[in-house]
Amino acid sequence: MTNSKIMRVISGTALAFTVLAPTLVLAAATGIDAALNTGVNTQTQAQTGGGNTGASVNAGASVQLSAAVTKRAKEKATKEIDRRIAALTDLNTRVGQMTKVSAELKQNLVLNTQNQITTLNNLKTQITNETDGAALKTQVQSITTDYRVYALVLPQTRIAAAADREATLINMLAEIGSKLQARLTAAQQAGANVSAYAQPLSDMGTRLGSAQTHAQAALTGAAQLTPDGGDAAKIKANTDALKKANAEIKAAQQDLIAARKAADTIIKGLKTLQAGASATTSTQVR
Amino acid sequence: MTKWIIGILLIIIAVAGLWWGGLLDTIIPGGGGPAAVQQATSTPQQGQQPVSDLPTASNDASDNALMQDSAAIDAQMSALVTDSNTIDSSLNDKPTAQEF
Repeated sequence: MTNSKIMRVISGTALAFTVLAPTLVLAAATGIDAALNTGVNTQTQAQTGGGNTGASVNAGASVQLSAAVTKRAKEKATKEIDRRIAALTDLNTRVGQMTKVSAELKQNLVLNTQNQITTLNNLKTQITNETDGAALKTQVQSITTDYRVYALVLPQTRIAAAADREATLINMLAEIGSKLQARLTAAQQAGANVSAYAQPLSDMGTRLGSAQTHAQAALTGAAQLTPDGGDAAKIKANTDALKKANAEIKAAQQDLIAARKAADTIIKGLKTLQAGASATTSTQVR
Repeated sequence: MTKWIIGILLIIIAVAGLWWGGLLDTIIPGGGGPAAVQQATSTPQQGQQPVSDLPTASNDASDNALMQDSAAIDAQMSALVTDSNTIDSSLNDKPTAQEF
């Protein structure tokens, strides 16, 4: 029985949580907040500027939009804003369920999504009430501009949430691994042959260690990204980084599936051992 | 005499500033000020024990406990599939075309 294998992983799992937290705190403090503030400020300025321009232009060449165009523009804008608000609200609920990241990171993620929701709600109100064509055009165009922030915050937070769940699963599987190890040791001491389950137990340990590495890489890779601001090179870099982080999430997921399968093999094996022990006991009684 | 007093005061202020900023800790271990203490508390402690995530007690390895634990793990595994799918959809998200 390779007792040291599973124990080593359980120890590693404990380290995973202490490792995950500082990385997230650092990334959130330097990356997401700064990016978000930039986004909000830019938009506020754009909206203020747009309103002023609209008012001054009105005296001369005001942009005239037909009622049909205005109606269509407002409907499309509202639809897109509502879509984003729904996704961000759902995201906030998910962040609230996270248990393995630091309170600082959770607070940061909630703040980011909440700020986005507030900004979008304000924009929706402005667009709904806007009567000036030029101002409406500027406001509608800002939906596309602001999409860059949304397009980053959404997957970034989703990846953090998935990594958090993987951390939970690593913890759960490490705990059940410890229980299975105890059961196998007890069965072995009672004279049962448990050699067939040494490898699955060892595999569990190896897979959980790997899952931890992948989950950490996903979190680190995604959390440090900042909005691209329309910069083509940064758009590509962010996209690549998010895809890579997603691949890490999937790799960790595969490790967890394998660890779960190994646990199942041992659990089923324990039942066989029990059945064998009962049969032996029955025979002895006879 | 006044120059000496001002000089001593400046040295005291400088040392106090270093202590407050936690820089003194790099020179004298354990001599860090509030900033150093604050920084230290934000770093998770090594060897910290994770809270149990299983529905049963950590010392309960009975068949019934293993069954409950397995069910809880499977529920989380299933939720992870959903998490993974939402990442995929958020990476492929496209904004609705606007009028302008």
